[in-house]
Amino acid sequence: MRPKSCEEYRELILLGTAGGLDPRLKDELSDHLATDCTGCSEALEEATQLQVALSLGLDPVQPTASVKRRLLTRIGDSVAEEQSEAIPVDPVRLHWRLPASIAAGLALAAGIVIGVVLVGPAEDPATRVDLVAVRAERDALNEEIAELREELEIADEDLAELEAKLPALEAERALLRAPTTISLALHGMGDQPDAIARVFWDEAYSCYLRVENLEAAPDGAEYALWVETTEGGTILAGTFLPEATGDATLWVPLDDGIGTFKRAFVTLEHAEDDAVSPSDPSDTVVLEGLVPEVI
Amino acid sequence: MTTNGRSQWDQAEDRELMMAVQKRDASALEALYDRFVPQVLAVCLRILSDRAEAEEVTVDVFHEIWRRADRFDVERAAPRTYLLLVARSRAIDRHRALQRLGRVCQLSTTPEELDGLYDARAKSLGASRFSSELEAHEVRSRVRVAVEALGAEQRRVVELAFFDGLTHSEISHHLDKPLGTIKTQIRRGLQQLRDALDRQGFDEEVS
Repeated sequence: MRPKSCEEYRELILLGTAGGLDPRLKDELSDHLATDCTGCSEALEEATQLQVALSLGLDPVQPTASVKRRLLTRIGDSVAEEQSEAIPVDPVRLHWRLPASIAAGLALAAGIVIGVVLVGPAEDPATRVDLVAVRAERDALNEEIAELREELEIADEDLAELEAKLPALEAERALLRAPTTISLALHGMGDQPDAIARVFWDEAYSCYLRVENLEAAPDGAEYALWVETTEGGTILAGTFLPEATGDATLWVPLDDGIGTFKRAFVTLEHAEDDAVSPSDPSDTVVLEGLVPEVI
Repeated sequence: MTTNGRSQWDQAEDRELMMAVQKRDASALEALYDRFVPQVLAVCLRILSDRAEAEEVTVDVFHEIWRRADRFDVERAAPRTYLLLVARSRAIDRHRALQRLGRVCQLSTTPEELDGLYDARAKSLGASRFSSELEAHEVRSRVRVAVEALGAEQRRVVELAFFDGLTHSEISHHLDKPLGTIKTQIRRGLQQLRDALDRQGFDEEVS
């Protein structure tokens, strides 16, 4: 192949300015630029200026806010990477230096003209990572991680609590939806005429109580739900304390075959009783409901 | 990368900013971004014709400046020159990759919208930045005059090569003209453009 003259190479440089020079010609051109041809290197710089001029002819465009955010995130990631790598930077890279024309030629061969400005300094202390800044950022990130871990532990605890409640809630839901479930309204008695409640039970003797407007129990006292059967038995279903709003719920599975319900009622039981007796409700009845028909 | 850190660079020269980036000062990179992102994004958008892709490449460009800052010689070229060259190169790379995937999209921002964006930008600027924006506007006007002075055919082939990243063979195929004719049109077009810009003393403004 006949060697090209400098005039022909400068024409190639000019053609390459617009882009799209064939790879074979790029290789040939970069080989020539590697010979330190001053005239062709100057032509390359002129071509670079022409490229920039074409870019500067465009109207500026404002980016959306997310562009900067994404960039800063990437920079943060890079800083973290740099921190994890050996510091200072690899000395081989620090000493890397090529004549301007060779660098430009190699860049052209790669399809770019950026090489004209890619001549690194023999040794630049600026390439060393600012350790103080990087460590400060690392500490800040570690703090953030510790806070997130704490939040995660709290969320796990909340989740475990909810999961523990789930079986009871599902049983309650099944009870309330079952067509065989019977409900009985309880009305406020004595000092608590505004209290109101409803008790539900099914054939399997699952029992659910929902109360509203119940006063807070005195210190050491608690409320108890009782059911009375047609056979004359009085059975303690369970004890409970209302929320600050006066609401309360109680779900208990009763023993199978305890008989037919005829009355349900809620009493206030005191601590001095030590333990609520299974068959001996106090006289303080605050809610009561009678089954109208024998079930 | 605080607000205080950013404000310290407001009056700094472009080269000072680049030197600070070489010393791994992220606030300097942020200042470089604020200063040049509209032009970098303009180049990317012109080549890619897709706003989302152009913004992604813009992030890549500034990230590359951060990662490879140590290889930039502040004595040899202006940071703006470097940024715009990197932007064009990366945008063309992405354009070709999208072509391979068959995902090249239509222009999402019209020239009128771009003008509107520029006007809004000019209004939002303070007095100190406004004069530099006016200078940039003057540069744009001069380049446009030089480009518009080209014949329609010459302008078309230059734009296909420069902004669409087509090889000369591809342009030849695209326009159904002999390769030699395309090369001649590009060469003559760029020579005219260079002569026109030289007459306006453009060199100093580029670097």
